[in-house]
Amino acid sequence: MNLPRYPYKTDNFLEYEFVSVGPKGHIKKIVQFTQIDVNIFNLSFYDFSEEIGEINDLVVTNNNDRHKVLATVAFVIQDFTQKNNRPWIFAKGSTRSRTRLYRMGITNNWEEINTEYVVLGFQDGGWQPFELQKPYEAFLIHRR
Amino acid sequence: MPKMKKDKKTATKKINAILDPSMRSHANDPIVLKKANDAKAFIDRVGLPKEYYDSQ
Repeated sequence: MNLPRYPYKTDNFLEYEFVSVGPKGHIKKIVQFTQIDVNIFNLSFYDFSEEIGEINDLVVTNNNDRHKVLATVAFVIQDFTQKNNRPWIFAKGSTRSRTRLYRMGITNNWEEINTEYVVLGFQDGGWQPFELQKPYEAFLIHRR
Repeated sequence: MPKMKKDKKTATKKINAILDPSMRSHANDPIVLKKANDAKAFIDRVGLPKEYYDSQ
């Protein structure tokens, strides 16, 4: 992947931090992987406010850097799947707009993602291979 | 001395993350735990795809 991204850090390859920089200032972003079943991890993606010391997973901040933020998350996923035993990653936004954001991230990088990962979307009561332009409720991602 | 061949299967891939042992963990934040529980409940309700079981 050769996309502009933010530098990010990790302590244990389960939680990652980076800072989005834009018109709304410096916003700390966190990508968290939490195991929820055998070899399946839930991906949580949220803002962290240093001022109030709280997580916010409902907002779509829009710091004019959406592509860079999504590319950074893609790199984080790459690191996470390399360091762990080819896990499945489950992703579902706290709101519909955040789920759409995840879909946008997959769509924008689809050519590269599709060569390295199996991506499934949940729609109409079942899991199916991801297709562009289709809305999904949730996603499962697995390194090939 | 003979050159050692690199085993492609075990070759270390580049990790882009900066390691920072001083990072504060949010793993036990109530919002994170709730999201994980919600995700588990979703999967329990709808099931997992065939591809998952084939990969195990």
